[in-house]
Amino acid sequence: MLYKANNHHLDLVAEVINKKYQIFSHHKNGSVFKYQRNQSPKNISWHSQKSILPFKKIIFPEGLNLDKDNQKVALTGLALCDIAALNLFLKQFSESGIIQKREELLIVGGDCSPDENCFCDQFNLDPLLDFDLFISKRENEYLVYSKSWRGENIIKKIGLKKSLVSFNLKAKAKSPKIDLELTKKNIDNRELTKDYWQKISNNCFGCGACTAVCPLCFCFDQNFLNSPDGGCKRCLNWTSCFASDFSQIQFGHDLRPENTDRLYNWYHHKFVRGPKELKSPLCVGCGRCITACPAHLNIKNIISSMNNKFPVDN
Amino acid sequence: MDDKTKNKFEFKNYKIIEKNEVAPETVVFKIQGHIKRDPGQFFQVSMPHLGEATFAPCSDIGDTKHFELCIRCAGSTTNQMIKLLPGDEMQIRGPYGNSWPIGKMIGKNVVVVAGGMGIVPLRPLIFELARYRKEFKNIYIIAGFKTPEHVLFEKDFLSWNSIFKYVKVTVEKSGSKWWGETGLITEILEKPKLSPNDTIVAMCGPDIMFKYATQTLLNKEIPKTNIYVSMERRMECGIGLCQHCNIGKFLVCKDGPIFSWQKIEPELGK
Ligand code: SF4
Ligand code: SF4
Ligand code: FES
Repeated sequence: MLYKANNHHLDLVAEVINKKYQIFSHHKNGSVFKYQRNQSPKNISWHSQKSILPFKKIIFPEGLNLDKDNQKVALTGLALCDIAALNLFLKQFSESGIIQKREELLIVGGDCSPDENCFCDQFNLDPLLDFDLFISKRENEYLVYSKSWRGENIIKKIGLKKSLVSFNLKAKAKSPKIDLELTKKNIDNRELTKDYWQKISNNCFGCGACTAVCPLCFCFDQNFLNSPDGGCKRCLNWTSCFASDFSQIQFGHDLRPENTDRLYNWYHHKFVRGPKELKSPLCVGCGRCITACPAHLNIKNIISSMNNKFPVDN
Repeated sequence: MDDKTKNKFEFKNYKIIEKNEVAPETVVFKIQGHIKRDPGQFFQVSMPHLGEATFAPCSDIGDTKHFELCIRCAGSTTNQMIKLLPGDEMQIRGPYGNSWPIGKMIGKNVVVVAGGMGIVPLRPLIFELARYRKEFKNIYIIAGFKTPEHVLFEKDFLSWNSIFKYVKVTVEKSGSKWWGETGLITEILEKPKLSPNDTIVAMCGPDIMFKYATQTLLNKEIPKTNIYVSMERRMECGIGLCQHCNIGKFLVCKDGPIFSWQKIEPELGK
């Protein structure tokens, strides 16, 4: 259902949400945006900004305590790419009981302003757009689109008027076409693309910044957190498939000893294994990895130029 | 709200009741209790404060009172684990993963190939082959170790020798009192005549052994679909979440650890 609202209405929406959920939204911090907890329901920026780190460290904090209870969390101002990524993330962990279930989250989308690194238009995000509310700014008002009973309940409490304007959610980025099927085929053929990955990896520092910022990188280690009183807690820590011990087995034997093996594995997970496991590439085109890469590697260009090099069915 | 506190990482404590050093830096712990499982499946075993490691239990699944874990020093966690003593507890979760395709072996010849610690997940399978001996055609057990000192479960091999057609244990470097063969496991595997369409192979050992042993088997025209291998990769979660254990598009913990050569060969090195 679509409703219209003004600033005052949105403050009320925030207050209603705040009663049940911890609210997170984008906060300006110098020249960048951070995605952080709102201490009060005031001043929520409903517009989406591209935070360096996505939602993942909120629902899966570093050192995730396996014995803790999950908090109810409202993630606001999410762009379409992040909504899609969040739903894939939830799907990956849905059975595990270690992060919030869908019903413990309130997902609130917001308008985004794509930058030159965005390529969300290359992915079929529609089936992944499960959210509760989407708040979109128009000239003199806001449109509030509710997609779930959770969203409807919030609107009912405030009593918003319906809107009859036309409204559709569409990926806004305008990027050159990428053939995802060909991408998958080419990456799956390591023999064919071996030299290509070697060349790319020669320029990659193996720092793992791309994996840290990606909403759909979720590799972790399991550790014990020892406390001075002699106790210990099980916890999960983020890691990266670029880490040197990531694929190490007995006697320190490393099954992915070269950076090219690790880089290949990253792309393979995104475009081959991901689609097998979660029925979708593990990339939504948010562009964060492009912004973060100190070596200026650009996933968009890397897959396009691979496909140009190996254009035919192999 | 049970559902909230229960997660997939939940483990249980089990008490060690016996400990035997079976080879250099290798011990077998006998543990009280029962975890229902199939041969080839694995557990995640942890030592509080230290870490967790992956083990396939090595004992007969028919024993519902105890089970055994064979642990060799191979890193910081296992180095500490082998210091545990009877009376100490281990935290275990599982079983995880798939199991040897025993159904497919019925009415066929079965070849079991074990390299070093590779015997561990195969031993429960061999106990099943012995228990239901009549259901299978000829059974071949071929195992290789570094030296006679490194031979695991020697007594078992001697007793299997009387029930199965062909039991060979080989060492790379033999000593004076050695009763078995000397040489590489692939050389022993060359010897028996196997009927190509009637034979299922179950194999576990280092990746490098798979490479040569499968070649030997393929030369004997055994189809790739009938060769099964149990793969070892780094595991953290054991339940398809952490992504450490992948081989190409498969997760060893979830899609394996046992794969047909047909399925896994194209993924190796990816
Ligand atoms: S951020 Fe760039 S340099 Fe660092 S691992 Fe990723 S691709 Fe390589
Ligand atoms: S791979 Fe890069 S562009 Fe794709 S979702 Fe991850 S961070 Fe965004
Ligand atoms: S061990 Fe974690 S995904 Fe397989």
